[in-house]
Amino acid sequence: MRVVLSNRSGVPIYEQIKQQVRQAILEGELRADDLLPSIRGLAQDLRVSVITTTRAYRDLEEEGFVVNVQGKGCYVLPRDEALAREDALRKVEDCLAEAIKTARRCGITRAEVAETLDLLWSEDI
Amino acid sequence: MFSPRQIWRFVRLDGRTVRPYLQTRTLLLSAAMALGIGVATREPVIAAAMPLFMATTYLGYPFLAGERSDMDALYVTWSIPGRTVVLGRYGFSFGLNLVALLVAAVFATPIAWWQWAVPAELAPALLTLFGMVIVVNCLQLPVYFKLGYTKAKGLVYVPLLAIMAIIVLVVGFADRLRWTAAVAALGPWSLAIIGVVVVLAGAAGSVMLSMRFYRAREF
Amino acid sequence: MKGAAMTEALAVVGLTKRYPEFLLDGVNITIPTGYVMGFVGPNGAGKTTTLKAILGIVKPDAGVVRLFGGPAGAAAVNQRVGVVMDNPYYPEGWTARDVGEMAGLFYERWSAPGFARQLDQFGISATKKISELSRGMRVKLQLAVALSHGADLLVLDEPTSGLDPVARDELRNMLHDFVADEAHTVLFSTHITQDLERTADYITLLFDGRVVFSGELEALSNSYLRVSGDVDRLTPADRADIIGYRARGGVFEGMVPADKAAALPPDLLTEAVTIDEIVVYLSQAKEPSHV
Repeated sequence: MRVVLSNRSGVPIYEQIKQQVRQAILEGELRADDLLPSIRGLAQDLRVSVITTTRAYRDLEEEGFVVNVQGKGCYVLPRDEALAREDALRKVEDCLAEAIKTARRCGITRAEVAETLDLLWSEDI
Repeated sequence: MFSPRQIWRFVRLDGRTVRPYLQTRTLLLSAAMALGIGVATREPVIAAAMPLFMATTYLGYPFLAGERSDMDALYVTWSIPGRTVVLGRYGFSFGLNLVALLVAAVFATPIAWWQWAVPAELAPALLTLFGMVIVVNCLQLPVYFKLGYTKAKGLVYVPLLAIMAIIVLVVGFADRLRWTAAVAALGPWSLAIIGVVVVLAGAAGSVMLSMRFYRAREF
Repeated sequence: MKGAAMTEALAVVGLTKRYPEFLLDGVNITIPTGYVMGFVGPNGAGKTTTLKAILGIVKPDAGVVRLFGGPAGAAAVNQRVGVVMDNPYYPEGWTARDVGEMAGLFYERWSAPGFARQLDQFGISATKKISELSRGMRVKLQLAVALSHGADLLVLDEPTSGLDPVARDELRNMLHDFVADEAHTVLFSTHITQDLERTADYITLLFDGRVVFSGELEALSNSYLRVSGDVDRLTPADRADIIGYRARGGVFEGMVPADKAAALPPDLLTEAVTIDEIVVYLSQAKEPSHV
């Protein structure tokens, strides 16, 4: 996986790292028992301070996504299927809410939205 | 306590430090001047004296370069202890004098051949001059170590001029001074031994003084 | 304390140095091995003096300085310290080759091929005189030396001042590469705080010879908040809490310790403060100014 950092998003760097690693785990890009890049290696690659990556990994460990094995590194823990589903569901909800807001604002009807949904679902996106 | 190898390395360091200041041009000019004066006065001893006394002026160069670039701080970062700096600097000055002695011999011998036809008399004169410049340096080095180049550079000519004045006086009034007869009566070997002892004692004292001064300085 | 020596690359305790017009007063700095510390303060705050004490060039009047558990300035200690100063301590007439040959005489772990490689990488000609090198090249030359004698601690004094953004970026990259090895530690002083923001793990702020803050960079950023707003909204009690207070045309700005922010009137603008701003506000706290 690749971590891409934004300088201007206003989100602290350790938070960005956490979010991206979390996403990768929840979406299955990182699987159970995968080894994360070393704290120092990641810090060097991203050109950030070691304390930053240390903190990100520590928080991820506390949240139960990874486990730090002394002398070896951080391993991805088997993901909680329920948690992953919940996260995905939340994302779907957010996107739908956004779509509905836009629809209402521009006077598009529920029927039109449902039609679009069916169309898109059958397509190969 | 001190390592001869470290000291030798420091002498090399001094040599390299001074190198950018020694331009072939100036050296050749000085050489020509020395030779010229020697030929003009027909005095081999004077021809010999010139390179040796010039060497004492080069003595200040490591201090000058050192002060310009803050090399005393460099020595600390390079783990060179103060006593190695001092001993190495004395070593460098001794080396300078040796080179000057060789040059002096090279200049003076032909003139001696030409003038005296018995150049053997040159040796004691050369060695005495050699001893004298060592003494002069031993007087100058503690001043450099205590004050640093900028403050010392005026002062260090004092010992040099003093010795030169003494030489002139002794050579000029040798026959008039009573004790010169007594000294001459001692014989060359006794004089030589006394001379060596004096020089060594002076050098030892000078080194100890320099070490104390250098240790007390802050960079 | 052997244990501490293993984990602390540098420990400065109570460092005090008296000069006729300046006092370095009880400076405490600790850097755990493997991390980068930025050393920040206005010019004349005493950074260079502190660094010189760490290198053993200046002897403290009081206090203790230990590197890798050993005394500052000790021969064995300085063998492991790489030095990059504002002005290199090398004679101007030397070439890079001279530097390498002489450094090789005194550094036990000197690698001549390593040095040649570094010069190549930095694009420094071995035969050019130091006097002919630009400031950036002089910094790189010192860095090349530091990286060629097995240094475990890199001490840099204002390495980026006078450098263009490209050179500064290159230097930051080199520092990152250096600490990829967890046995390596960096201490660099700067007054360009942007150079610290992503690179430094720890920061020490020095003002007027005193340490105002020493700890994690994150912690410093979080200790203060920038606050601004209408001058009339402040009570005198509020005013007293504001550091580096500055007012112009009825609008003020300044900084408060994070815990005091809650006590301020709600309709003021409070936001995160950058390290740069912290330094500026703290400087102004000494000399308040308002129009």
